[in-house]
Amino acid sequence: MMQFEKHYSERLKESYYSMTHPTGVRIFVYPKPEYKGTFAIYGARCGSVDDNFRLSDETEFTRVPSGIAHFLEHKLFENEDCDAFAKYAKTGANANAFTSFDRTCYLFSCTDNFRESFEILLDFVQNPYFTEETVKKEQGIIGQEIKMYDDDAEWCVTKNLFHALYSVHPIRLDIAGTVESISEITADLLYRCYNSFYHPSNMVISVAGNVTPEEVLEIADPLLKEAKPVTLECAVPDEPDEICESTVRQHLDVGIPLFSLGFKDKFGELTTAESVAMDIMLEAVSAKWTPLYRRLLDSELINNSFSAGYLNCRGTQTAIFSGESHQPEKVREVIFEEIERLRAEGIDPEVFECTKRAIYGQYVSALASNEGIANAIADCTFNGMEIYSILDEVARVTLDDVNEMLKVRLRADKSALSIIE
Amino acid sequence: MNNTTGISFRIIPETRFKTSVITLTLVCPLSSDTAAANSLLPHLLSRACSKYPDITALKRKLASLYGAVLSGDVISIGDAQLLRFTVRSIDDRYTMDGEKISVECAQLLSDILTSPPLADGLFRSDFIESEKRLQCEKIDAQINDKVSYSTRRCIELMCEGEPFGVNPLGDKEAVGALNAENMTELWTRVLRTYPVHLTAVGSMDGDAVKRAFTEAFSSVDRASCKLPSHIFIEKADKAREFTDYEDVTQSKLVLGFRTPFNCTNDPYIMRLVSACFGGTAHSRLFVNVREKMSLCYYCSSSYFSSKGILLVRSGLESENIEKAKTEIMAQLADIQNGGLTDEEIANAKMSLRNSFLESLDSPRATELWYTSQMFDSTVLSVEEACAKIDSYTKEDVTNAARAISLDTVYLLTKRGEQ
Repeated sequence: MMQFEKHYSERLKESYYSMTHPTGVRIFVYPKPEYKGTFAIYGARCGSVDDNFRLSDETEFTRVPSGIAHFLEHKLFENEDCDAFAKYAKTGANANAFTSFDRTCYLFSCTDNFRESFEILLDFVQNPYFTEETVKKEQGIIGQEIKMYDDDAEWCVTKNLFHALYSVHPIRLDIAGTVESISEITADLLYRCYNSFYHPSNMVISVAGNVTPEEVLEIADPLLKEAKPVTLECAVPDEPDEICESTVRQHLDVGIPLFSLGFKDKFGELTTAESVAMDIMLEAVSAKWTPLYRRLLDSELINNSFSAGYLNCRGTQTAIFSGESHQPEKVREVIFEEIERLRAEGIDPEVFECTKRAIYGQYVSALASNEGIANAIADCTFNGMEIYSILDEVARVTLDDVNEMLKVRLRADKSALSIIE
Repeated sequence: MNNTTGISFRIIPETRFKTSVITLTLVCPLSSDTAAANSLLPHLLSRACSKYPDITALKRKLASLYGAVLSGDVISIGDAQLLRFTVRSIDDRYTMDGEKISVECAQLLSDILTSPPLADGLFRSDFIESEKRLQCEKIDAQINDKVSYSTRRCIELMCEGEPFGVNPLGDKEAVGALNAENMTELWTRVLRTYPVHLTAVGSMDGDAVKRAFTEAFSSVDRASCKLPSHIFIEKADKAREFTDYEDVTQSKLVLGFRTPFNCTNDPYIMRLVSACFGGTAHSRLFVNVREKMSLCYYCSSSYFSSKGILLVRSGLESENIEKAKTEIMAQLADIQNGGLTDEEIANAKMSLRNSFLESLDSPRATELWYTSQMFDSTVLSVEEACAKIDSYTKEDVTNAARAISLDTVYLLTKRGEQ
């Protein structure tokens, strides 16, 4: 008998439900009966970094062309008889998908016909159909998507940053690939990728909105397919500690330069405590209420585009400060100085306290919409975390935790500056 | 509901949400004479208030209110410029230790508007110089995003001579002329003469919000305020073509169409036409220009009811521009000849209904739902809008599509490729 486990939050006075389906898929349902709509994600742990893998019964690794996970995302919508968008058209759902470094998510939102839309989602994601003809057609569309990103300064400044920080780790690869790399993709390779990565044990279903766990299970259970147990091994290259280049520049047609200052911090999975401390640390260093922000603003070095964040991806953590500036190298200098000052003197307790409250508020706000909730649950699951315990951790975290984290993170010798000018 | 001349309140009590939003919108005509100054003012005001007299102090206070966001911004709707001041915060019941923050958040919004930190009765010059620099950088940065840049350029060219064609940020020369005197004068004039709309969505005490803002504006001598009017051009005589050359990899095509349907008569029929034409992943443009012909990653239509204008936008290879233009116009012609099936129309209706209803689940989307109807002859609720969309027949859709005329073809491309 399949049972959902209930998770209750005293802070939010809400609950959600989770289970591992017999096929291996993890299912999460966050009921919001007071909302009109529902948002559903069906995600696979398959992203642009997954470019070199083998199954347990194979001796050799297969290296696939870069951009294949994203290509697969596009092609999965196409079935033999018609495509998924044509099916969704009849239910009124708003459907989409995205591929990132470490996952591919297929999603929809709807205010009616949830059953029909959810059936469509489960159907097309589990039933791949690829032919050489449909692959060729998609190369044209994705080729244009890549060219759109080639002109996108924000996309390029980040891509170049990862090139500068990482010499072999596949996080440096273009998520969509290049026009050249996608020309090497074949229907066979797509099937191989699909069969290796879209195994139920690698999949997550995350639903939030006007729906009950029983409804979700009742629809999904007969449709979820079993697959024979498979062990998948991804080859993760030995990435050196050192960065490749400390400054990289690219010329694009921009009216003001963009910069992205990244720190290659640590390898290994992030714990919840570390993740929260990282968030608070970055904001306590650089948010709008900090001395660093004031200094950069008054010196005319940054504008309102300035922000900080970090990417946690399969053992890599990259902290990034980015924005627009006419003097990116000066921005780097000032940021380095401030980090050293804070390492020596510690973060101001008043800054820490209001940062902690602000982060808590941001996390609550992230769980305000169906889309936010479904995404947060999928994100946490892929990263080995849980949404309510993150909130608890924010309430618990101390100034010492954050100062300790700052002692070992954001090292200047492990950083690179990417500039688009 | 008017409590004070020219202020209208819309209080929507909601206990469903974790966040609440209060937005104050001041409205004026969009004009090249005033755009720069109007655009600067909300950013200048949202930096500080007399109680928290600089950006760090105010941001620190907001952070301590659980990351409440207090922002000033400017958007344009049709021929009008909207100065918007918003406070968004988490609901009182979600604070860590039961602290009540909503009253303070509302008060801060009122304070930044009516009680800025002044020096000898004028705005501080250092704040003004800082905001001028930021605005100039925003103007410079507009070209960075080629999709929005090409849209802006098409509107500028298509609507030259109409206020809608004016860049809401103004130009750098106009920004350069701003100073403490003229900005202070603008601020007093804005408070005195611009129509004010306040929308609050959330579990805050609506009466308290009304009282606070009525009081805040009570000391202001408010003349009778009128909403600016709009210019509607219902039909284009002939299509004009423009090309900009920039160092780009992918070309951007924007087609501007005129229609006689706008916010003063029947905007919903054109929303339905736009959805069928290029508004969804099952629309004519997506299915044909993207999927069947593989010419682009995006090819979609958007409708601006405040002007009765439809834009089609696409990013593609320069060698495919003519092919794409031909196909876009062919799809429009087919729709005008009654080529849409009943199923296509029914699906578009469902899609619109879905997107309308979804806005009920978000305080920001709810606020925008009403603000975007500011110039509509009739303001509809979400349910009323759904019923309106549902009421149209295929004949209505075909007749409305027949009234669409091509006005402008704009192309952003690499030199030497055309």
